[in-house]
Amino acid sequence: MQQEPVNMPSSTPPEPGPNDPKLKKKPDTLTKIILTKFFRNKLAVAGGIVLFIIVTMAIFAPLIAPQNPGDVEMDLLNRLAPPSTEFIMGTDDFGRDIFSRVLYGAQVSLLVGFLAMLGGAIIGTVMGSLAGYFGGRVDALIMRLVDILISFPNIFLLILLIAFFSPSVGLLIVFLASLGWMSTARLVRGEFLSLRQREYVLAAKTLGMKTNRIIFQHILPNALGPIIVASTLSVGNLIIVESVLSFLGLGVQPPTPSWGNMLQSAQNYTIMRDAWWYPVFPGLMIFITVLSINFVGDGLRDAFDPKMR
Amino acid sequence: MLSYILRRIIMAVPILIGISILTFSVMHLAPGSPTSMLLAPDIGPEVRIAFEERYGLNDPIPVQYVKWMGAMIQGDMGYSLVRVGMPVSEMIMNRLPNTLILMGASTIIAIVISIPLGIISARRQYTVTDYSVTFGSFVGIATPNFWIGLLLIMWLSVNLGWFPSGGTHTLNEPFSILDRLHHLFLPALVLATADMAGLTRYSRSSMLEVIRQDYMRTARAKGFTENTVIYKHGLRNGLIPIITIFGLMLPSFFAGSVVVERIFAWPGIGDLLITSVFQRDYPVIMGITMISAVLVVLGNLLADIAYAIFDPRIEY
Amino acid sequence: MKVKKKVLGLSTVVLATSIFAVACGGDDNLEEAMQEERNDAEENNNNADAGEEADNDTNENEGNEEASGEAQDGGDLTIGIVSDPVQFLPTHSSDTASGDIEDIVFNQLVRIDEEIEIQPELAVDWEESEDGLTYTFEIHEGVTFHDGEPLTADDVAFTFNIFIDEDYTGPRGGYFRALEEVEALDETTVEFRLSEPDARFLGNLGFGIMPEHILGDVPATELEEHDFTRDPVGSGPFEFDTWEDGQYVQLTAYEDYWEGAPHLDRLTLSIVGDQNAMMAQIEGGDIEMGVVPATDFSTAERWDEEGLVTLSSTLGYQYNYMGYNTRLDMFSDKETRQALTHAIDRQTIIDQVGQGQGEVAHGPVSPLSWAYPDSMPEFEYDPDLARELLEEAGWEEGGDGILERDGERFSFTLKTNSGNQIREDIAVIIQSMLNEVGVEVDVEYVEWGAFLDQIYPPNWDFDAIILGWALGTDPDPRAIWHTEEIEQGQNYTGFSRDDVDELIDENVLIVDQDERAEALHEIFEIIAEEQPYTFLYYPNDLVAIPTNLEGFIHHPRLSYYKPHEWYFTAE
Repeated sequence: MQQEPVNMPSSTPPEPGPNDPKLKKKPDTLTKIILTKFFRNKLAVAGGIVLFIIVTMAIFAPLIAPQNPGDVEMDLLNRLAPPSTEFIMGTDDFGRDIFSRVLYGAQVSLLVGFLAMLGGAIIGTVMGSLAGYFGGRVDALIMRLVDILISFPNIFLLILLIAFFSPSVGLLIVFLASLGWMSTARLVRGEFLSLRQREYVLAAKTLGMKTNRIIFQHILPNALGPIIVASTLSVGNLIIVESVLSFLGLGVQPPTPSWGNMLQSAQNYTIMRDAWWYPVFPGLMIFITVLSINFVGDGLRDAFDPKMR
Repeated sequence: MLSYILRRIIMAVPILIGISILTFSVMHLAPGSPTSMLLAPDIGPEVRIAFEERYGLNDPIPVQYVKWMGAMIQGDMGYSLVRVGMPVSEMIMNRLPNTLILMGASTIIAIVISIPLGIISARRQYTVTDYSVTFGSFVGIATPNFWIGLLLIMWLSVNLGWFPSGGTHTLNEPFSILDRLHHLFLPALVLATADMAGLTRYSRSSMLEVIRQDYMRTARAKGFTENTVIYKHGLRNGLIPIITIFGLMLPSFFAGSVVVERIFAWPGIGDLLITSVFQRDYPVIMGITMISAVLVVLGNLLADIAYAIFDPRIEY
Repeated sequence: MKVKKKVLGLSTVVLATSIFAVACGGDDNLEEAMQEERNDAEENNNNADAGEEADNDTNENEGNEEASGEAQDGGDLTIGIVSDPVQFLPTHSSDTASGDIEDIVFNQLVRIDEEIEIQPELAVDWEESEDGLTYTFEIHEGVTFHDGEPLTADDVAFTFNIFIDEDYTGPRGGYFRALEEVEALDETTVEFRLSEPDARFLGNLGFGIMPEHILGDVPATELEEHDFTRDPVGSGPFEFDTWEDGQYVQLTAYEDYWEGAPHLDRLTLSIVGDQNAMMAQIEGGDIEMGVVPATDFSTAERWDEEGLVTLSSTLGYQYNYMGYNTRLDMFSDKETRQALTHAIDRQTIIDQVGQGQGEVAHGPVSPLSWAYPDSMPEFEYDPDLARELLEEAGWEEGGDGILERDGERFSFTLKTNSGNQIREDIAVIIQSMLNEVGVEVDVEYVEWGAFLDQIYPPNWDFDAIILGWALGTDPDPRAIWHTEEIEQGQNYTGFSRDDVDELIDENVLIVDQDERAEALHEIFEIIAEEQPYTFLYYPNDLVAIPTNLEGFIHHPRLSYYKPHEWYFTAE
């Protein structure tokens, strides 16, 4: 449950090589190169396919799921029923179909992971741009803030926030995003620092181009690759963080199902002993999803990495 | 060198202050208060006011913060609101050793398993071995460690009875190092999983980097065997960057300890933090936050210093 | 239910204490660990369909039949407890873990027995004056504290005078409002003087007697900071040995115990953190005795059959309920509330959530109590009747299938504290049951601290809540049902009826138990008729004990009762 993919050394900005100006001229070619490289990576492609399936199933959960997860099946006969043709993942302690709940849980878990990532990426890009563009005091201030948040197990802060505010799913996403922007900010800032002095940016400046245009036309596109890679990987991490928070009773609150809170409900001793399917399937879903996301992220990283071109 | 260390320490101060302000504000801006938690509603307003005065809970938040900080600088972390009369420092010191032991053991497990795997993987790049190791580390990253912990408890402790399911030692038995290690193994392993993955991949890429270096080629050209080249020349240079990752692993160790200590009934500060959060024991929460922040900052500092010592290219 | 005449007032002690304990205990997760513990206790049951019989000694010792082994002295017993104790100071501590340990380390003047009746402990006997204003206690001679100093009437007077000290800030001042003075007349005689008669008084005396020679000079305000709270000295059967923070508390036999030296040598209370860890450690043998959560009843029962443990079960002295905020229009009339109760199948809740371990509740008093009325109004599960009654109460089906009255949709939020699996599950079940009769329910789980803040006065920020009360030995209903307890107290639902207030005021003045019982019956019947709560059920209390442990009495209220009489048989 590392907060940041600290272990990803190559998520540092790629050194802008001499081919950067080219990049501007022939973006299509570059995209093509990246895609070609990505599709050559079998793990990444497999991850992408699995992820696509999971997302599709989540979106169409109401059509696929045999049960509406809101229904409480009071039928004691179906309580903790093992996997069968009727209940392919078995039932939980209320006799609810675990497969249905896993599908609906996917909506929640993926939504939390994806939106929190998006929020984090946006905040990070803004902060990084501010720091990189203005430099000086603004930069120092923002980077100190980054240092503070990074040099501290920020799950502590999350636990405090969530325990004390008892947030809704929306607020949970906001909290996750507001503690998940630091690596993006560093990336973007790094890109600014390295590109600010480059000729074409300087040229643009002397030509009187507006600051905004410089940022949006020249600098951000360059940072996009690393941002996409880091963000992709962070979705997986966020899904895990949500499950950890749920494990502590702090994530998405039941009866709304999420993979994390299903695992938490499955944590009862008797269930763990007698109904292995309950803790196993939601956990497997987290595992498969995060694994796929990481494969995709890793594939993207290699694809974007100019050193490996 | 000394001035570098000093500079780093001075830089750490605003970070620590920032962390304390953040934590403090989150706690005090949140709805709900320790008063409603700790006092029954039928307690008269006099008692309530007396309670709040006693702990300074009715001061404005900035005043409370300054007071707390003032005492903190003098090494006084205050008293628990729940365990009345119990100094926070004592509560933390009762548990910190357990957490450090757990983290230490996890680090050792992570090193012993990950670095060799990373090296092997790098030497046999693009082989089945390499792919399996890479895949394995992905698995480690993709699995919530509480889930691994629960499954291991059910399987190894409950079903097979190989390991105790919790605690630091067998109660009512004389001290035995074997017994302690027996209790330590599972929680340390689970705590290590998340970082093992990262460490393996880091070692691999670090070694790959080194293998491509000129001096390696030179060494090979001199006719040294591949093993000598790798272990004598490559290893030393390849491991240097790994030192820094230990500094970076600390926050995730603390984060992981919250969950792992909970699952394995390991009486450390992560477990204490959770208990205190749910009891709204503000001084204890602040104390634990600060201690972990100091340790993390210190860990990073040590890692950087070690890096500086091992890597002669770096000058200060 | 037999009631010994000699014992007049049952103790009140616990009402307030216990209410507080539950409140604290209710919490979650994490912390809430205390709550979990309480919870567990809550859910257990015994043999299921125990019907209305209030027989609490059901299967007290299944182990008896195995008691063929020989009694032996000695042995260590490891007991699992969920949460860390907080402080050991009988006048102040309010959490379950501390209270349970204090019950072992300290002696009390009187103690409730397993039939919820007051029995003398340190007291040999007591006399009550005609006017009910003076109680004179004769206490045992030759009782010594663990440090060897004798326990005398002075220590008793010292302990109770703490409660009436003007600087006393602990949670129990309320029980001693009528107490004016406590005085030791000689070594073994102590006199309590009251300003007005109080039927609950004897019940208020269930607190551990503390040594004056250690704490006598400590001002009341500083008691909680004294080292004593971490290393207490009492006169009970086991003396306090060590407390390893977060790990265990160890108690060793006090060989000079006045009722005879304990059989066991040592009690270790191991702090396990949560219920699952407790179960795992019981199965692994690291823990020999512990509370079994109702959700794990089937597992524990299997262990019992396999001979791993003896599972003991008894009706707990508490109930779970769903409370309505009667300030809201939709809950303002009793007809609607009664209809909702008809719509909730409580037996299914017990079966589903508590694996059948409990008894359906109908009113705010335990069937174990002498104050339980014979003619308690009951609202059985009958969804058709519920629909009918709702219609009579003016609710009509709206366009979306949800009932409406005067333009208001019958839709509300049911809150409970997060981390308490049983309450969370109850909420989900009730949600679906009420849905059946056209009532829309949203379920919300709130962290314990924030939850309390929301339901406490003056916020009352809830529509309906699920909670539980541990009952006091004295059935005085004031703390929850008197109008005065709305603005500052635990009458969260805002229940208020003048006749009930009057009866409550009167009941504590009636010293004769039979007469008092009549007043109480009336109160409880009115409350049950009004249904400000849907009384859900009385959960059973389940404890796993070693198969060779004898002398254990499963007390509905106290976790460790007469531990000096526990012993192991040779196997």
